[in-house]
Amino acid sequence: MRAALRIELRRNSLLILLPVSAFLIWFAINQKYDPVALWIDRSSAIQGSLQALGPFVTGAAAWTASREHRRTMTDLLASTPRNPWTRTLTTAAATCGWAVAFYLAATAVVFALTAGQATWGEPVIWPVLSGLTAVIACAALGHAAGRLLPSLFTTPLIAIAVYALMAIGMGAALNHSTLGMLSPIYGSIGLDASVFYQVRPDLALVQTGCYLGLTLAAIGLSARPDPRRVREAAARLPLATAALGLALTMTTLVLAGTSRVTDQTGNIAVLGGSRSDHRVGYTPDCADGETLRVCVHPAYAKDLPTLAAVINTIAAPLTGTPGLPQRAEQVPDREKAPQVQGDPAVLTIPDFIIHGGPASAHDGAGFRTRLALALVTAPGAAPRQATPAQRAVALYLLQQAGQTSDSAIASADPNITGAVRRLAAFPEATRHHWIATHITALRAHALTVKDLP
Amino acid sequence: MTPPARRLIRLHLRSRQSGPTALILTGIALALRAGHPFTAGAGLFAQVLLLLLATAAASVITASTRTPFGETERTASAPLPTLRLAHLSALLAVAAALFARALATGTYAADTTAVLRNLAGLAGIALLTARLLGPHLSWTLPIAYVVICGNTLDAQVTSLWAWPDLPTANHTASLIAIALLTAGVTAVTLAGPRDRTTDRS
Repeated sequence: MRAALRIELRRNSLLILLPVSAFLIWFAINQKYDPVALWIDRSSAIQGSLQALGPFVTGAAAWTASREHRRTMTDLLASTPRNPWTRTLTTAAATCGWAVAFYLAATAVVFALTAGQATWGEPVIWPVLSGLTAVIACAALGHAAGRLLPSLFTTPLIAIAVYALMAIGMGAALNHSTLGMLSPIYGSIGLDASVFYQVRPDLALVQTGCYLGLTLAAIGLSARPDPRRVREAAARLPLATAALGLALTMTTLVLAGTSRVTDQTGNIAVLGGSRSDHRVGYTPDCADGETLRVCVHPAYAKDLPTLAAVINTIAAPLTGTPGLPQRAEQVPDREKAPQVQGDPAVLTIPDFIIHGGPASAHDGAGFRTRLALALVTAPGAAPRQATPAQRAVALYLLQQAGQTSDSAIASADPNITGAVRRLAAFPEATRHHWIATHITALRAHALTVKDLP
Repeated sequence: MTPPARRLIRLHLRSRQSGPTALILTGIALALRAGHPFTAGAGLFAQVLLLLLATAAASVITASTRTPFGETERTASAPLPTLRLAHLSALLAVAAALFARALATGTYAADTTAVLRNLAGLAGIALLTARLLGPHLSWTLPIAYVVICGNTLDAQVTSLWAWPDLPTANHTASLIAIALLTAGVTAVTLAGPRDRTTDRS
């Protein structure tokens, strides 16, 4: 048996596909390689790499499992004394072994890179575990398909079917379907604000159970068990394995049905409580600016200099004016940021990443526009409810800071553009005096664009 | 060169499992129609699913190019390129007709022209892979390419490197797809898929 496994490992067809998977994982992770390294983000990216590995593992397992049929050796091997089920499990074990080794190696590389970049936290093992069991399930499903339906077409079709199922599940989960959360590429931990809350393993445990159940069911069914031969010991084990696997899968489906997806964390009611029960304590990293002291979660420490500079540059003309917050602080709730809240007033900042690729550049313009509006509107006011006068002053703040605005959030008509130009043309001292005198009235909606100097 | 007899074409198509291939292509077209709830929206995963269905059709067509006779077939006097071209043309036409029929029944994340363009381009990639690696591995590069296209869609990056993501109005994308199909069909027609086995397993 050991010699057979050694031969299978040496001649496994997955080996020539692993470089393709390695390139795809590098491509996928490199695209989202944000400058701020968060352990939860990177751990979740490992699980997401299933889309680049799963189809190839499934295809390779199906191809090796159909070998006896392809080489027309089915009858010859049927005459050997060894149980055909355990014999073919050797091929599945070899494919599975290489897939698991590759997955763990990819995990080690990503974690090693993250260890040199992250400023807070530690590796999160749950998504990695979920992905690992999904890799094993892919190998088992491919093996079962290759054994049960040996044909030229089985390999590509089962590989594509597995990828399609992952995509369907992910799409369904994003549309708030609870069963879709069992897709291996759906993050088993919530990324939104997770540095502020303890990571809950609920969904990861259910996903892991589901994939283990699928593995057992596929391995059992690959023996083509005949229920009429249940009295024979050789038929009983595959049947029991398949039954156990199906039962486990069904249980996880029921558990997933009880989850809540509103906060993208997939809390399973039976397995635990709400994420809001488990806030993680931390000492914020702060930077003093000329106008505001800016504090962020230590996980975002690398973003602090950029963030503090942006906020202080935008708020500079408001220095010393009434009602201006003295402190800006990161909060987990993106709906409530950026806003001025509380007493003493604090400017809240969302847990986003300020720089990065083209997508985040657009997000950055949106953030900066909302930030400027928050400084000139009433505490807690929604940015889209800003008056033309408030929009004009906010756009001036952005213009003098050399920042672009998001016209979808703060639109500008000719009157507003003219007011911005007039404000910019004033001498600094005169402008500062006017802002200090009128900022309270401006926040109270008591000024129109025509009232601006 | 005299054209091959009708009987020879029929036997060649049978040796390439063209009947089962056409049946599977019908199944994929039915899956496209049945999966309308998942492929109707303009979201990322709807577009990826359409790409995967086109990849499935392309991979099945290419898998069927595997010769069951090996080198023996090359020693025959029958003109293999003509037979291969007839085989590929027939299956590509069947796939295109079935996809067009399925797509005509509803509104999908991509229009009919875009899906047919992607089918052509992905079939080209699969055929080139079959020439380089063999028909049993012809599905690998198309799937890898779909993974890349999915990532570029997710990142909202438009590039000719991910031409299947581009709208029908982009003529360069259509030209790339046609060029890939032409290259793939030409390579497999003239030289056949790689039959020196790379399958050691």
